[in-house]
Amino acid sequence: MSNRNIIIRTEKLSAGFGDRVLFSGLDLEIREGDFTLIRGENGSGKTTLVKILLGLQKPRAGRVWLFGAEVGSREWRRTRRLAAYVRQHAAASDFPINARETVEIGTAALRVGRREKKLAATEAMRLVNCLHLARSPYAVLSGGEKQRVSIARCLAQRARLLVLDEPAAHLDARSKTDLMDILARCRREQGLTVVLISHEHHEAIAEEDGISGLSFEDGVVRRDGEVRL
Amino acid sequence: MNPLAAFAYAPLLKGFLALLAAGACFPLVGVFILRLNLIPLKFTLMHGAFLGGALALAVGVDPLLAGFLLNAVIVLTLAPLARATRLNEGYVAGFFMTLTVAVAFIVIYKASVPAKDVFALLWGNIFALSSIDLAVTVGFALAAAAFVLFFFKPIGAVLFDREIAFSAGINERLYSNLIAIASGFTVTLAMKLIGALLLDAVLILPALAALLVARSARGLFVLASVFGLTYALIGFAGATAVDVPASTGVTIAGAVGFGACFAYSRLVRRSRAMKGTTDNTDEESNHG
Repeated sequence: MSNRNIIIRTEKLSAGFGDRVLFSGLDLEIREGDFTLIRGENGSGKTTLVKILLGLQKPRAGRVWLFGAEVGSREWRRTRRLAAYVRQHAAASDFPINARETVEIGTAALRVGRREKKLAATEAMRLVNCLHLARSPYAVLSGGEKQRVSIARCLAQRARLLVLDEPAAHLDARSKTDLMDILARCRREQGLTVVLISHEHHEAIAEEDGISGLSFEDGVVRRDGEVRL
Repeated sequence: MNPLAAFAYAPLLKGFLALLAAGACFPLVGVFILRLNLIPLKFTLMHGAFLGGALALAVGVDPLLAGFLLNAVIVLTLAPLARATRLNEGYVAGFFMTLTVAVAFIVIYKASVPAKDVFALLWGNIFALSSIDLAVTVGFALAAAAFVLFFFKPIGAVLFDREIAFSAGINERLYSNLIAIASGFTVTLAMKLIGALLLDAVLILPALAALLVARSARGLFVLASVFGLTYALIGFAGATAVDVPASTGVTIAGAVGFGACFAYSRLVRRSRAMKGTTDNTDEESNHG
């Protein structure tokens, strides 16, 4: 039995739309430093699950704890920024915002001074190698650059958990490799817990230890244990 | 004749000052309205201000105050009602929009409110502002600017993406409510200033133009404010020079400004596309 802290725990979690059940009775435990790969067909409930885990969507039944606080509780409201989210589609790219401002969104809820927030954003951008993009409008960045900026936002947020929904979709091969490299590095160097939805094979994370899998198929969620890619 | 001599007339000076304050600060709220798709809400609030005015005239209180109160009630009811009924907020706004007009006409009819007084709310008149109206306008304009200035990051996050704002630990529901309340107050004030029919001139047109040309969120708010102030100044001066209502001058200035920004944004997009094509060609020839 691992003695690492439990980051995510679910109890009898169910979700669906109308008559359609996406999954039911899901008991899940993700521990600090885990790299969880969620796979499954389109529409199988992967995105719904991560949205429920983050408190963005309500489950049909069941409970979720994030960093020990039940989602929806007062304590969770105080700590929910520890879980950061990168969406599948680059967010609202027609909004005039530059890369630095996007990263600084992550610092908005930090209870530190303005100077420290600025430093956190700069440091996060340096870590994922996107500092040179700081003044570029987000809308004109390539898909890979947008996802790097998104990960910098998560790091600036001082998140301990990264939840990424198909971040490599629509990226070219080189950008995919760069992105997965960054994720693997964040996990190794920062000790982050990563939950990644992806149905692709990624060489860059293939050599990572302790990747566990969750597979969605026909309303059944299966734990794959250790996954070798 | 010295053109500044006209400002010796208190109504003209008050109207000018109110227009400057509104021109500089109301477009900040226009950014919220455009970015969060609050156009249905804006129309509902216009109708709310109309009903508030009708009720105020029926019972003899200040129409501006009644409009504020009624719109505050609408804003605070709308989102929870949409959540409770699981209906789109736009649908609920549509419901309120039609209901408020119906109730306004019942009030006008039953309380024998002179229709011309109520309809005067739709036209607005910046030269009929009382000192209190001016103080409220300037005070609210400064409050809107301070709201954006002090809460720039969470507001920017909500405008960028509400889910991202939420997962960054921002109380996005609180900020969305504050934005809706700010929109309610601004629409009510703008109606009083230049009337419902032309309120988009100070609220929407500068924000629309800024959205076309801004390269950052900070730039968006600054440009919206600068454009609004410029339209107000040019519109006011132009309207005074050719003796037409000030609101029409501001609207024409806004329309011309929007056209110029649109043309500029197309040029930038075209040159960016051409640069991209050239870069690709260079890359291909390097690899070739």
